[in-house]
Amino acid sequence: MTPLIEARKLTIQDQHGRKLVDNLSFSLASNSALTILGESGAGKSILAQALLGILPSGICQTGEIKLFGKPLTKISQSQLEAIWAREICFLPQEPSKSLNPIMPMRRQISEVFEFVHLQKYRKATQSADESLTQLNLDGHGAKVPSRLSGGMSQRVAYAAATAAGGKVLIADEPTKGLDRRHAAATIKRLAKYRDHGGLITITHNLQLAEELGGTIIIMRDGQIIEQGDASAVLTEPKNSYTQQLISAAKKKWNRPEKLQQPKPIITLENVSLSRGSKQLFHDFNLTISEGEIIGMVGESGKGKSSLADLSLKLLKPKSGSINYHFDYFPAERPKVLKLSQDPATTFPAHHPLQILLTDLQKKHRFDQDHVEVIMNELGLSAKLLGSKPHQLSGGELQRFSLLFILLLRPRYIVADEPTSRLDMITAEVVNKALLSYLEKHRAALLYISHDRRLVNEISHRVIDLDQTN
Amino acid sequence: MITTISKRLFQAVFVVWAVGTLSFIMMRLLPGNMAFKIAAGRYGYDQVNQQAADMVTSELALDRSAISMYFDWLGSLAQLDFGNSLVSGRPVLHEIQHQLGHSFELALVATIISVLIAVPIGTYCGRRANSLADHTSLFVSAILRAQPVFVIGLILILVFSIHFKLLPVAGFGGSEFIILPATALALSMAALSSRMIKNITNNAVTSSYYQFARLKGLSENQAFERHAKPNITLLFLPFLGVQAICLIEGIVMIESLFSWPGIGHALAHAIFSRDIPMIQASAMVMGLLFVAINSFIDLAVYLIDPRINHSASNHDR
Repeated sequence: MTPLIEARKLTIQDQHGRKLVDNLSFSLASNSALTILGESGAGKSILAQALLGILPSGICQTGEIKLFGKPLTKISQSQLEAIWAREICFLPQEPSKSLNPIMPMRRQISEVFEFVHLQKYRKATQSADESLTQLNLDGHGAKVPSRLSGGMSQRVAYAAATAAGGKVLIADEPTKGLDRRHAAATIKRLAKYRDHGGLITITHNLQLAEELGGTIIIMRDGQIIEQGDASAVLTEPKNSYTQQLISAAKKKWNRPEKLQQPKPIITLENVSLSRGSKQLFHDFNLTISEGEIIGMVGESGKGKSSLADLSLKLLKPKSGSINYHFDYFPAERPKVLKLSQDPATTFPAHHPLQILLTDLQKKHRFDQDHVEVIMNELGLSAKLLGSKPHQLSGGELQRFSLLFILLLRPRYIVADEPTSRLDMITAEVVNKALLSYLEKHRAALLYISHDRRLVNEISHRVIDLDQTN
Repeated sequence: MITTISKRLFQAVFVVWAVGTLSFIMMRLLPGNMAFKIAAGRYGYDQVNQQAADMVTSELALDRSAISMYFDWLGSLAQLDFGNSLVSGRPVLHEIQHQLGHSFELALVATIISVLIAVPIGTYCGRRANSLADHTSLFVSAILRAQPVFVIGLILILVFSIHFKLLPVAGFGGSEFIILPATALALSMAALSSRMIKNITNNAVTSSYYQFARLKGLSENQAFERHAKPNITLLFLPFLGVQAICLIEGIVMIESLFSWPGIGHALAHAIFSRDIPMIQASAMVMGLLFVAINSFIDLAVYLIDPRINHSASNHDR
């Protein structure tokens, strides 16, 4: 039987000759799964684009790709367009960016029924509503993407991507930024494709790879590190990088000791806040003491980020007060700081990191020695300082965010899902550095995450917003 | 929405006061004896002598201090009385009514022509960025942008009226009279807006949602129709509001050049004869026009942008 998708000696290079994918060969048989696992970075997504024949101009590709036994080079543009969605579906990374910001969700799905299955407008709308119901999105059809959470957008994108009925699915980072429950549901949906067609998943989520089984390819810097049957690779990894990856995923955390008689540094008293007509908090009280690690979990939309912003005084409560029990002059040196989920949005894209670091140093005067010590701890090489933020991978940039924060010696840090976009090895480095800083400087941490197991392990106490309201 | 409307109303009041005051001050700063200029406006330059000037001075009480004249004006403005023309003696509002209609007609036709030119060129080039067509359009638009609008008007007159004798040189009458002035204005506006449309079109067709539309099974035309056109329109509408300032500026020059009896033409004449109430009123009307166009566009965007939550006043993030 001919494989559905086949790649032979595939090498992809960017304009500067950097190899994004180096000498990759694989074949996807019917009713099987292939998972490409690796660091967060550019290489893996470009592979999906190569398989779909939509590489951006300037990127060059050698080797051979075959779709259903036919070489991609022999497939004309119109034949390729007939393959898209009808034969091979593509679930893009970051669904919130792949959905049209001004089109209601229902239309983004129904148009596929209308134009691909040639259903009448009303029938197509009905079909779209059925898909929404199946994905537990009843009543959200009229909303535009900005009014939905990441998990909801992801489900809408899935419905739209697969509406045309292709048997093979290529999913790019399908669980990025999703909480555990949504991730599990996504994996279940992906498994259906594995059983009835074919599935290629590109991910940094080890658990996803484990549950989907099939063949696994482990990539790093475009190089193939290990390739083989999923259970074999994951139980007996031969390569040290794979071993590291697995141990990071299974890591047990020891939380730092609680301080003896800690002084409170931040108190929230009878705080109330609402968003629109929805009340998020009512008479909420919280005391944060030095050295304390508070975990926060809860579904999207329950107000995790709002509570964090309140504690940073970035949001004003409707009633109640927020007090800092230390000298607080925001203009001098910030004592409360936030590590956010997506570092790309917190750096100006077009200035080299060295300049950003020097500016920070001029304003806040910290030791150069410090910079080196922390960079070392975070595994950041000095060479990276010459690059601009958009040239770095998500993992490298997140470590720079943390570097900039730790250099300022804050008393209180909010970490808003700091590792949900990172591969597990980088995630481990970030969490480790964060915890060791807290221990050394008696600083407090509010750690927001979807990962309940991690939160339970590292925090002294956990705020569960699903249970409080 | 109600806050937006009240904000716009406040803006309109502010514009009326600011424009009126500024034009008053600027007219005061112009060199030359006001009485002589007004007399020249009334009786023609040949008839002007000291006696006529004195008559004008005593009739209009021009020997009052500037401050008292200013507050007189402000007081009557508060009662919605725009005063009488110093030249014709008739109420300013009456004179402006007709001119405003003519200017509005010219502005509307010019805007329509500019959209008809800019949209096809802009979207064509946006879908083929860096092609020969795109570079040509950039070149032509740069040349047009570099010309003041009356130069474009003059060239049109030279080519179509004098050389080919196809259209009237200037004046007002049948529909053939509007073609040249409207086209001159439209060319100058389209030079800028076609590039703007090119950029937003290019952003739309290279966006990830556009690519996703293709990958979920829509053809190039279906994707463009549904995932580029609405997005382009939504961004282009506010730009038309920004361009209204170009349009109003252009109208003053083009109406004078083509002797189009609109408000810009009236403004130019009023300035020559120091007819301060006329100047103030026509400048204020133009300011109001700008506010009105922008309010109208705000309203249109409010109605067509699905991201705006019409039921709740408080938006979710």
